[in-house]
Amino acid sequence: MRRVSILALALVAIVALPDAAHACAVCFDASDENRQAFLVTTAFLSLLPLGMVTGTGIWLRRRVRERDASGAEGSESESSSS
Amino acid sequence: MTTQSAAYPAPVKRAPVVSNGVLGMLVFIIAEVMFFAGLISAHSIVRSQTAGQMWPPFGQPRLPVQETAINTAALLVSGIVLVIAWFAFKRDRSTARIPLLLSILLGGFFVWFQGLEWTALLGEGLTIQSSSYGGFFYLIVGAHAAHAVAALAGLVWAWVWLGKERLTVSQLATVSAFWYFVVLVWPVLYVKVYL
Repeated sequence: MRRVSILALALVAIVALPDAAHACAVCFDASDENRQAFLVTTAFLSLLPLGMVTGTGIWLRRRVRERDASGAEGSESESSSS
Repeated sequence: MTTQSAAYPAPVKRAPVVSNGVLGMLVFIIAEVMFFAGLISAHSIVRSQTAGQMWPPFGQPRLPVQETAINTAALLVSGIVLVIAWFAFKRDRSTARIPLLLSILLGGFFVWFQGLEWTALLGEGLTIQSSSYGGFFYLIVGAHAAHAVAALAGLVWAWVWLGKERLTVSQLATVSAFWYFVVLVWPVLYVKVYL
């Protein structure tokens, strides 16, 4: 009896809850401009941090290579002079 | 002990590729770029919901596009002058004082002009509560103005330190990076908010 009532309660919840839980709390406008704005801003906010972190990483890597190259040249000249 | 040191050469202390100040400022700028990106995105979404309707909303004053374009030019010139100050600093430190001061004055003009604009718009009835248009305007432009004031304070500090001959390359690079961020983010905000 208890199992049946739990199942019945679960069934009621499955039927009733999806109506209250909308897929997207902010997608309340079906206009083309609005959908396009959501798409563009989603892409913008997703790619921007990746781009900035990648750009910073590439810049730092280049700086390290430049420093190492200048250090190697310095050590070569030192060894050739000695 | 001697055999160990022969097997493992002493570690070489290499110069850092970026100073701690510049690296810290870069991380901060990345966070601030995301902050402004969020504001711009929210503004774009709200504006797209009024598609087909009037933007700015009816009864709200229009933003001074032409006057702010001149102000934008002043800010961009300030950034260019700061680049000149940077190269002057690397060549001969004493010659960097005038371009650095000019950059500060141009930046100060930008902030002062923004203040005048705000006063006029408040007088015309555009407040942060009058509409989402007003709310976004004061939030985005106000956040930028707060950054501009903070960056200007850094430049003024650098100018004073330069006068005392205590300013280092790393310190100037750090405060300059913040000012370049303020300068470069503004045209994007201007296009999105004013146009």
